[in-house]
Amino acid sequence: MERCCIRPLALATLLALIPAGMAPSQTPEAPPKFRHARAFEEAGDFERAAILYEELLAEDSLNVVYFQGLERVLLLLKRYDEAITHVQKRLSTTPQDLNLLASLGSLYYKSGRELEADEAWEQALSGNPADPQRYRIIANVMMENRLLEKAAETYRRGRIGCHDGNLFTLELAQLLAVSMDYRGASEEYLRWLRLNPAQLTFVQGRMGSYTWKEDGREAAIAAVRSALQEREDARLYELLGWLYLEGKIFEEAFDVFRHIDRMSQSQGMALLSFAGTAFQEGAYSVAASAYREAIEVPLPPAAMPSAKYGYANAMKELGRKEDTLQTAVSANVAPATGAQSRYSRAIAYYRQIIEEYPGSEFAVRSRYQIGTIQLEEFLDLDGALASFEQVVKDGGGLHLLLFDAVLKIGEIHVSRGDTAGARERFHLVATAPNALPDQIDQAMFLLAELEYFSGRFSEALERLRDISMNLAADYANDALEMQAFLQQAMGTSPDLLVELARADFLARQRDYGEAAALLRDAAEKGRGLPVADHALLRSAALEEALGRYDAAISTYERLLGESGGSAAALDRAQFHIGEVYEFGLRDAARAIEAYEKLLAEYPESVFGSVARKRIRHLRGDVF
Amino acid sequence: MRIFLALCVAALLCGSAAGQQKLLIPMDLRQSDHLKAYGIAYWALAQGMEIDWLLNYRGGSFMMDHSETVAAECRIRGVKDEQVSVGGVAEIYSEVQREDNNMDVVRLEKAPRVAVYVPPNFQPWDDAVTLALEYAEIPYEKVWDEEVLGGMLSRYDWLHLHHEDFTGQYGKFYASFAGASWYQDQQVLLENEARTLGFKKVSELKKAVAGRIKEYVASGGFMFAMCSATDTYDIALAAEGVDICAAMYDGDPPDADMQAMLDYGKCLAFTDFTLEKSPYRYEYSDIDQPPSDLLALQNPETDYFTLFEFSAKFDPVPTMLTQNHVNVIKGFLGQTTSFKRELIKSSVIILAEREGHDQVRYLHGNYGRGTFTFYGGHDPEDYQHAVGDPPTDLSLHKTSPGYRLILNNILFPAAKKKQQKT
Repeated sequence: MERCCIRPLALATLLALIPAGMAPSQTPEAPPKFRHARAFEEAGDFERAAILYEELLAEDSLNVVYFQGLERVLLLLKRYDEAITHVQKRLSTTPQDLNLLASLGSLYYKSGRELEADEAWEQALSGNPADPQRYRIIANVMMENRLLEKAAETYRRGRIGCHDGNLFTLELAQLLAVSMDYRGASEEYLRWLRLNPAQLTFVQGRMGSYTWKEDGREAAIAAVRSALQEREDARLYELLGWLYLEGKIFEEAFDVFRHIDRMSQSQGMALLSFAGTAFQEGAYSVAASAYREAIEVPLPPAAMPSAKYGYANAMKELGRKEDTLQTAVSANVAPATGAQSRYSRAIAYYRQIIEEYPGSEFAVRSRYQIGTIQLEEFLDLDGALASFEQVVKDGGGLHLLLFDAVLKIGEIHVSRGDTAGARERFHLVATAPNALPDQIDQAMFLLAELEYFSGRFSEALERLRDISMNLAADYANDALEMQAFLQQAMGTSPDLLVELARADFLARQRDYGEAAALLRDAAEKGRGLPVADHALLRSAALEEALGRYDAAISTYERLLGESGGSAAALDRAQFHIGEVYEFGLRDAARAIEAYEKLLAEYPESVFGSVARKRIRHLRGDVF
Repeated sequence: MRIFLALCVAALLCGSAAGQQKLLIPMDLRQSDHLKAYGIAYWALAQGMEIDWLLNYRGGSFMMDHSETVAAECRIRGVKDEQVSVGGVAEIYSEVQREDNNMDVVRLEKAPRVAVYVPPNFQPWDDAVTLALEYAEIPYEKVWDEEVLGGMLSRYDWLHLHHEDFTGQYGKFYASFAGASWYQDQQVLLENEARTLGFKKVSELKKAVAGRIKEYVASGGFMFAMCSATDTYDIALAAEGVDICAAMYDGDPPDADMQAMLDYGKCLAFTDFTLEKSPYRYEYSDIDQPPSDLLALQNPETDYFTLFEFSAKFDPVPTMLTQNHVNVIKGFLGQTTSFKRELIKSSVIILAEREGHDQVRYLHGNYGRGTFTFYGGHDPEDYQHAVGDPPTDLSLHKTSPGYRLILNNILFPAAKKKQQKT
């Protein structure tokens, strides 16, 4: 070919390759009219923009950008009829254009012509029923028009049309979740999981968007259970277990984790993990059962001590929960009825751990637990002492536990009247560099008490001052209360204070009869003085603790009649009368009367708000 | 004449067969729990007792016949009360009814039936009014769109509008919370409900509800609205037949000339307001002052509003609504915080404003045989409450003057209708 023909030919070829309707913005310089149209549109002057787009389209009818621009502004102007005509005109040249049909349907819908909208969309879908893209486009435009159910229907129809029941799984799942059809969404996510078994975490994450809601979770559980009826699948069990744990439905979760354990052949480890979770959530009965089953699998030897210890702890907590007779007034005075039988299983298990794993951390902890039960539930001082002393002996690296054990030993010595033995133990913890601050505070407070019991009140005050400096400390309130009491009593009646201290020491040794006598004596001698009020309060508290409720009430009433002027004691006495009626004698009417009397006669009492709550509760008020 | 009447009242009281002692619930600074005091008043009304509301006497105190039952109930609820002798009662009434004292007595006769307009997933701590009702132990019932459109409002004396967006723009939270699950749930719930009730759009549903509420007020109902329920309510009324919602709210664009199409004549309180057209801006119109996106500039330390004083004898209604133990109250923000003064209709009574600004906090008006009260802000004891914040514990704000204004509105319908003096 001659060179003179090549250039025109090349140019022609080049031009032929440029697609028709190429956007002006793709050329270096967009036409000014288009720029003006865009500017008007962005400024909100849609009328003028429309005029310009119409002119542009008249000049270049195939231009997609002009077409879309006009469609857009007609829509913004709500000139639906014109927009429809505009789109129909374009459709007449490309009748199978999917996007145009989708747009047309949308315009019809917005203008209130729903039947025609459906027809347009139907036309789009029926053009090629096996084309997944059609369904996506139409479903999307339906969603834009908030026709969520229709969109879901379109996806489902697409599955049939494309002969693929697994199409659009994630799209449908998301759409159904947004529409609050949680059962449907869950079924789609399960379908996805079946196709992608390694994506359990992904599915959990997606479902988590609605399973935090009770109705969402219930729907998801129903879907998974239904799926499990069709096939046993470890991943489904894991999903179900997770759902039950989210909803704190521990009994059902336990059942599921059995399956998980069996199917995953984890030798009880899945059960053990579940048991720990249940225990932390306070579901002790389920935790105990799960621990036991894990142990019986049996677990690998390395996991066994931890499981047995967990089981024993769960049994201990169950024993504590059964102790319904313990009330505010009778704790720590006498062993609660049936304490031995309630805790016997826990103790037996702890002993088993000690026997099977001597010298181990679990053995030490088990012995500590036994000591605690002996001391707090059985009030068996000898037994508890032996246990705690063995803990100290065997302690090894558990130094924080050792300090707790040492403190307990000290308390036992106090209960036995051995102040020297107690002092030694408390001092050890109070000066230990690696004890916790709370343990040190506790030790300091107990040392202060010892000084008080021994009549060394100034020394007691000094120790209390140190504790009360840190108001955030657990023992700060107790320290402040004791400080206030000591300062007042030392100022008004130091001799009687010695008798009170002796009485308190006797009470700590559980010699309640002797203590009560000393207190009555002190109250008599100190009649008219604030210290007498304290003596009467303590005496009444002892009566309460011993279950002698009528005597306790009499003592409180005596205080109210004879009060030496300690205003803080009067309202306390009146409040305690209410408590004795409520918790001791279980006489609601009298309790209400007593609390009401507190409100009437001591309107500024610090016990007022509690008394009000108790009255409302006893009355059965709804608010 | 008034002195003569006062003497007659005193004589009647002194001469009554029982020599009846009274129980006074003071509402000045001596009261330990103002909010529960309203609850006591409501409780007494519900028991069939009559109560006198002593306007401007010791902060708007309540007086009723003394009984040990009432006194005990006051003690149990932590409300201070005072036993007043027959002579003391006479003195009090004399003082209240003296010509030169800006005080008066309003007899409260019956416990009003209270309804709160709230969605089905509502929690009481989401709303200041229900918090106040719960704390004061005043019972209420919940109504929603179905009940309103079904004509059930006639069963109630008093209606509170929750923080509902009557414009159908879902609180204009789109920009910040479009992806949040609670926002999406809310949108789907409302769309489903609109369809069930026969409306294509949520905005159309809400306009219909606003219209029914207006009818309720016209036929004698009392309506109280706070925060965004105030301006959006009036905007919805003005926008009847006008599409003001952007496509993300109702699926289609708003009417291009929506501003020009508004009919302010249909509004209760506001006029000549300009709509906020951007769907991304957390604001409905220029009624709200300061604008919601400029709240960060507000200084909580200097944000106070002042209650106006009214003549108790000649303007008992606004006087009742402004009863308080203080007259300068700490401000608090909301989606709608205050109302621009120049956009308030001249027929509306302004009850409180932020001095030195064009911000009205509290207003009241009549429509037909009923009344409406609008109170700006979200929670009087939570300066800037955000979505997801913990609820206010009113037991820590027992003497809240901001909350008292809410409770004034609840007792107000119980008042025996007096002949209007102005």
